[in-house]
Amino acid sequence: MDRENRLSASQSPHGLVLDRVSFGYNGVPVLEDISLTIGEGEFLSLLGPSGSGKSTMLRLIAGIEAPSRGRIICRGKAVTGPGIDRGMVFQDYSLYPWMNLVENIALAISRISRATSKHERRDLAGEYLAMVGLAGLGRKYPFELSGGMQQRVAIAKALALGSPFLLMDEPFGALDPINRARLQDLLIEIWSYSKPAKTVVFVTHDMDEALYLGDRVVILGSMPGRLIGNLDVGFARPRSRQAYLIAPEFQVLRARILDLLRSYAIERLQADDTVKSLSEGI
Amino acid sequence: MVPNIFKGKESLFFALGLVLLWQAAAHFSTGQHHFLFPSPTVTAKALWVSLPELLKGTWYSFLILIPGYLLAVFAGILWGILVGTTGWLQRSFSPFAKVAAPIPPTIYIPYAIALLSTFRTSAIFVIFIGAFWPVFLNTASGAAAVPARYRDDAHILGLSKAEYLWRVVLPSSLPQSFSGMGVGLALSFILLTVAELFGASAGLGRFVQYYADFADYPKMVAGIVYTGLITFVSMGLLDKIKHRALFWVR
Repeated sequence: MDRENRLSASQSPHGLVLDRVSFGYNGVPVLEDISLTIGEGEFLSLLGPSGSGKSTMLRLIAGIEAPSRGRIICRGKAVTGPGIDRGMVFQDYSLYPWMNLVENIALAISRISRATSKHERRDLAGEYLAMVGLAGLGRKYPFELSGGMQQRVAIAKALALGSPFLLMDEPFGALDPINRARLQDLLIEIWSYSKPAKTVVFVTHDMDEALYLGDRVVILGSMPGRLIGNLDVGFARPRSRQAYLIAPEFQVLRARILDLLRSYAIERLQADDTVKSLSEGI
Repeated sequence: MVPNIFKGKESLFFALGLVLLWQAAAHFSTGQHHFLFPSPTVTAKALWVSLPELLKGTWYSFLILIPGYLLAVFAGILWGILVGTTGWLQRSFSPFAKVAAPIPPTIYIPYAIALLSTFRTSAIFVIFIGAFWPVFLNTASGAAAVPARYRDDAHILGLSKAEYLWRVVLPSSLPQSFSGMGVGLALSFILLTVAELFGASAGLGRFVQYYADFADYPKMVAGIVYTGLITFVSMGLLDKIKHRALFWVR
């Protein structure tokens, strides 16, 4: 995107814009010169190997960290800190173990509607639990639940915040393949029924997951993290897992992503003149 | 190898053996030692006879121990949470705590008695000081080490500082607070009985000192055994509370 386009996008009251964002940690560059526009209602997969700074990018969008250079604009306003317009789901479930499920979700609800009574908040929390298939389990504590169930609650909690933007940091990374597939489908279902459609930024290092879920896959190369690819995933929704995995277009996208990562790694190798594993994290 | 009949009851047999050894030692000791060394049966009798007096002593002792200890727990947790989460407080208070915490609290007893009007208030004060430090130090280190994922989540939810302290930091550092409370309670019993040796008119430490003065060793030993049991039961009670409060720790 050229400068002019970027400026007009950054002034738009819609979507998320990263404008030449860099971030370093103790002088070590983590992200370099990232410019990206994310449209309202879009499901964006952010794919990268470990060390590519994809989680950091999400934390910058969330406002937990501040960029060292550049700016992030959410709906026309610069991001200066966390806000309830940007809900987040972490890999490690983001639940408080000393609160039962209803209390965990009710805490999120209390952030957006202070006026509601405790009783109303609890009822509403129960509804969010039902939405992720955990109706009637409100009095359970996180430690009584499997990882997959805990992550469902974490999603319910993020939904309860009512945020138009949902930032997900490898939310299914710790789950077994079956639970992972179930939760991917649950997420897509919730997303496609949300009105107005939520904007999802989904961080993952799993190529299949990125392609299966996303409208678009943005690829980050590692050390330092740079934007190296931006692919539209042209599959119609609802997507069928089986049909999709054997589709030739899918194989083409896979090959394209691998190629992008490989050439970036080789470029880095030539740049640093050091030997690193080419396929690290993939 | 331990025979099967002992299995799971080792401690019981150990205690039984100890009592037998005590009985034998008392039986075979002679002269002055015989006098200083009441047998278990004599001690048990003395314990039974002095039970009303001991129960009254327990009441007086607890009137000192409980306010001092609870005050220390309350202040230690509150201040620990504030110091553990506030950078400038941590930087200013920690060096002071490093110097003040290791001072043996017993050293304050004479001064406390001189400074405060009654024995009870000065003993409460000494127990407060003694129990405060372990509770404070443990809570502060727990509060300073709240896992990043809890911090991040509180950040995302935009909790106010008060809500963050109450709903996240307090429960998150509670395991450390409880280990401080365990140390604090054991120390409180030590301080209580030592303080009572100085100027009490009633209480458990006073009971032991009183009968030692009269050379009534059966009653004195009974007082020691009884105080041991009370301490044991109190620690057990705290453990129960801890397990209930920390049900979520896995």
